[in-house]
Amino acid sequence: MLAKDRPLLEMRGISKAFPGVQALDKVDLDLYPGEVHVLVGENGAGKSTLMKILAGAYERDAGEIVIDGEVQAHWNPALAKAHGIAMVYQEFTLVPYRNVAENIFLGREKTRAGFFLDKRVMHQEAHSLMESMGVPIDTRLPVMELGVAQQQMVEIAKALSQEARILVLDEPTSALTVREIEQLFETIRRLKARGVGIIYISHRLEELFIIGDRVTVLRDGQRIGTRRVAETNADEVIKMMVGREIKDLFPRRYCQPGEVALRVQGLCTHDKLRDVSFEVRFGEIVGLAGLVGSGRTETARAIFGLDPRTAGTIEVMGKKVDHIDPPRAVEMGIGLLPEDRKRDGIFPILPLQTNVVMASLKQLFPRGILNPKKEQLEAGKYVKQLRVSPPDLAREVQYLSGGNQQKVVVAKWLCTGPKIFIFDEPTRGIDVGAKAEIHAFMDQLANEGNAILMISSELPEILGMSDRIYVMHEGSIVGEFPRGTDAEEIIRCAMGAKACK
Amino acid sequence: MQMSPGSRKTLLRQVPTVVWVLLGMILFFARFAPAFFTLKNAVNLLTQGSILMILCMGVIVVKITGGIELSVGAVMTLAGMVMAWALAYAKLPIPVALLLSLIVGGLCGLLNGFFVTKMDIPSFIATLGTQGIAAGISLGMNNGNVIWGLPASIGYLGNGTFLHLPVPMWLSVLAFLCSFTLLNFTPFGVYVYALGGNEQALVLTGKPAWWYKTLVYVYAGLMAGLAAIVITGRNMCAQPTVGLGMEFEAFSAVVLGGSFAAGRGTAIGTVIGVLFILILRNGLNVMGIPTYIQLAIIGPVLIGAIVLSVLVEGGAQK
Amino acid sequence: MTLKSFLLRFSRLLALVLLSMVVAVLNPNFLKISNLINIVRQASPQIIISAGMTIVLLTGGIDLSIGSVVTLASIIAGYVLTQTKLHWSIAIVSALGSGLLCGLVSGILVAKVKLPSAIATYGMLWVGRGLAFAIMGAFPYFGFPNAFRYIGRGILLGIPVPIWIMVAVALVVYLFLKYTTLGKSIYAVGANPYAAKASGLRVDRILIYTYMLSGLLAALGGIILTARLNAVDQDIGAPFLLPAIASPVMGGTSMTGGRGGIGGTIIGTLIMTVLVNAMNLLRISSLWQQFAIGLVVVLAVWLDMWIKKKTA
Repeated sequence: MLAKDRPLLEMRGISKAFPGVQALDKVDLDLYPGEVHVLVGENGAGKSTLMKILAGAYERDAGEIVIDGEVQAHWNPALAKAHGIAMVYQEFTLVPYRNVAENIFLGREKTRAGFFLDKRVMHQEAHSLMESMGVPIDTRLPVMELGVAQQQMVEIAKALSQEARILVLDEPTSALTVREIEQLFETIRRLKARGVGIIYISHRLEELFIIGDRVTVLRDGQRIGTRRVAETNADEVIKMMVGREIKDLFPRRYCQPGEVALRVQGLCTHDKLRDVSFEVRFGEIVGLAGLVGSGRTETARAIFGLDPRTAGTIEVMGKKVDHIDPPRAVEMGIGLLPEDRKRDGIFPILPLQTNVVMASLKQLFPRGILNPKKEQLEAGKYVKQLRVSPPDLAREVQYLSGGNQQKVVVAKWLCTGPKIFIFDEPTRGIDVGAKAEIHAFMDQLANEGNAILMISSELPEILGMSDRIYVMHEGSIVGEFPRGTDAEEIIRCAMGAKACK
Repeated sequence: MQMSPGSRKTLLRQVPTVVWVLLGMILFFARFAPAFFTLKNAVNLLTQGSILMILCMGVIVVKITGGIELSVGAVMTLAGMVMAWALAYAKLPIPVALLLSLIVGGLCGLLNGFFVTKMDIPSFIATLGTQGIAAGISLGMNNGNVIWGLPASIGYLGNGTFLHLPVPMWLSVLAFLCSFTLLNFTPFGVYVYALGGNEQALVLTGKPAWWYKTLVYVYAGLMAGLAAIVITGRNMCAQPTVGLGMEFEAFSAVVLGGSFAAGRGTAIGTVIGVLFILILRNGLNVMGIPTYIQLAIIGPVLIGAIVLSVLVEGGAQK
Repeated sequence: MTLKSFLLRFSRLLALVLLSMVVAVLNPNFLKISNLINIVRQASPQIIISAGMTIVLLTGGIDLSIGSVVTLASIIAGYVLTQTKLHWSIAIVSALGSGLLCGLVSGILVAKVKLPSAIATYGMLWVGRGLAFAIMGAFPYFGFPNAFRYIGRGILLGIPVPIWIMVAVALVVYLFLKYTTLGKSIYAVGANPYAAKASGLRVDRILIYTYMLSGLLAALGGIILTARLNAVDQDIGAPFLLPAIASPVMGGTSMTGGRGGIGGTIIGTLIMTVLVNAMNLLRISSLWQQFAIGLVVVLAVWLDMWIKKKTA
């Protein structure tokens, strides 16, 4: 299958550092015409950084980009485009109320008399483009009337209409149904036949073996290896992805779990969750693993009453809860450390002390009158306990580091005195030191008899911190594992490689 | 937003809610005010409404980009005052004065565009500011007095007829054709929708999105200049408060016409929105209802129609 | 950072002082006690109305219906005073009630129907206007009882009653925003509505209270105005809208919510009143006032945006 001639693209020894983290460390990647090169790796492995460097959106610290055998001295978005590199991002760049043809040619319209759209030519070209991709979409339909898959096709058509020779698809199937994925693959095969090189980023292993020619695994900013798909198997790829020894990194000291704190049965929401059931006991850290989009965060939101549930029961400390909304959840002693800290966790422009007391105003000041002394005292207590730095209570939280912001959110919940904690990605995007502190603190909380449900995309964290592990896939819980389970087994389960239980 | 693949709504459901309300209103007036449903009244209504129509043809373009244009009434007033000043005091030739009106409108639009794109001021504050500035100059430039003494021939633009139909009506049709063509048949139209629907998409093409956004406000200003010509011709004078409140009517008409959110709206829909307001006002007039009661009725009916449309057509999300 | 924000707040006061000094140099009459008291008295209704807008802005919303509510409340007061034989206190209660009711409707439209606040309150603007026309008809109300007029014209301990009321309102709003949990929650909703919801705050209720407060204060401003003018018509409220947006923003209240307070609003209003007063003293036609205010609004908002970008 592989063309024998020289590669379309070579990226050699690419390095890139962000403050506090080496995002890429001497990574190589090459791409031949007519090839699908799959890029896999956990979150934060460096895939998207590498692609942004390719697109010219980021500058690289070291390494070279070679196109058609020529080393490129200069590199920027315009040059990337000129060399036929096109990206299809997960977020679409389509104009909803205009039609397919206008979207494909956005910014490069065909005109008559230099002013009027030449709709006939645009539709003709758009139509033949769609035909050549094997997707006969009516180019006169407004994009908003198309399904997600069709919109994706329009994105790809848009990329191809710019004479793309190198096409980057970032998680293209994350929003597609099985049938739509089949259609996408059909299109990819046609593009291959035309000699287009495709870099395909995916979380789903099964796709790798259907559509990929070669696979490169990234982990912690390094290239672990590149394999021909025909010469490898799922086990090897998974091993490459997980790799490291993780046992000693985490401080979890096991203790005997107590009563059931939270029991969820048959939980459904209108779009994401199907029949989710699990339980968390006091004194226990329960990990909830799964791919991005598998419904973990949605589970947390539904328990906390942020999203409405359509079916199922939630029992808190043995009592069935009929109606739940956030104020109610707080009253019952549940605290939610949200996935998106900036969006749902902190009040960036408010001072530290206000952030800490915000969830417990009612408890601290039942008569509605604020007592600044008491506010400072309470906030100060938790700031000290969690070692937030700097411990300046008047400082706006936006000026704290990510790790300290996260501690502020933890402090906010400690202040309400909850018994059940839901930690959604507790250490995402924070530095190693703060990470260890938060892990130690979670361990302490559990050993003091609190119940903790921890959602994480980092497998080492799940394996290292959890006493029990549930795995979610496409909105359902597909497996439950005890502490000490192999990483490979959990990844396989999360990727839906096969049914497990 | 309907996203299910290939779902074509049934024909009846494609008709916007406001059209049904409009039809109901026409039937109501036809039944209770015999003088309403006549050709003469229809021509009369369209002539009087031509100014609102012209203004709305500019406002809709801004609205599609997600902007709110609250200065058109005051800009129209200012353009009319400047034009009348040029004719009555500076004794400039008519074509120059007309051009001046358009230039004043365009400059005010440029100011709006500058505020919005270069100073990052939210559009409705920026245009509210321009409203104050334009209204202030209009009042101050002639000490709050009306400018009289315009050449008689200027009246043709406001009261004359062409091919048996009033000139203002022709001009409003011209304004409609301009916006209709611009929005549907030019790349600029596509960019206007892109600015409202997905600005990032336009930025990624490498086109200067900020410049197109500025032009949109200039276009609205030009329309206000055109409206100024019509209203000055009709009144044969320039009043420093003539456009007071017009921006609110224009905004209502545009939203009624289906522009509930950024990236949405059409020229034809805007015509329907304008007709809605015109017919409501005209019908109440013909029924002989006193002005103050009309004002009491018009506001709530407009808002009721907007809320109903938004609720039925699901434009409530951001 | 606190020093910086202190300087920023200080700079507004400085602007007011500088402006006053310039005016005083141009016309010494400006510094007469009677003129200064006059300025504050003139500013009082606007400060009260702007206080309501300040609270709405703190939640990240905007209340475009404010002028309309001033009109409606004034007309309802005028109606009770002249068209009925009811006691004048009923006029005040019903005017305030109408303000609360308008705010309640706006609040429900924003919090429950989830309309953008600009659209919801713009709708309220029309409804309020319509009701005002429906109640009053074509003829203004005038000639109110002296007891009622005392609110606008009376003098207590050498200082006009409107100033006393304004000071009381300013104090209450200040304490409310600073020392109550509801006040804190208002800042929280404006700073980050998602986090507020995820922290268990009842965001819907907080928003509804906010718009009701805004309506109440607009009505109070209308009552003082009506009492002072001894007459009321349908155009009484509209001119208050623009300054009500401009003065909090000039005073450092952020249009995107979560930041600001009543102190800045008072200074912002005073700057505008001094500007108008100066134009009068300097014999600049009052017709140019709108121009000046329009310019000041744009500059103030631009400054706000600029500072935010610099400190971000």
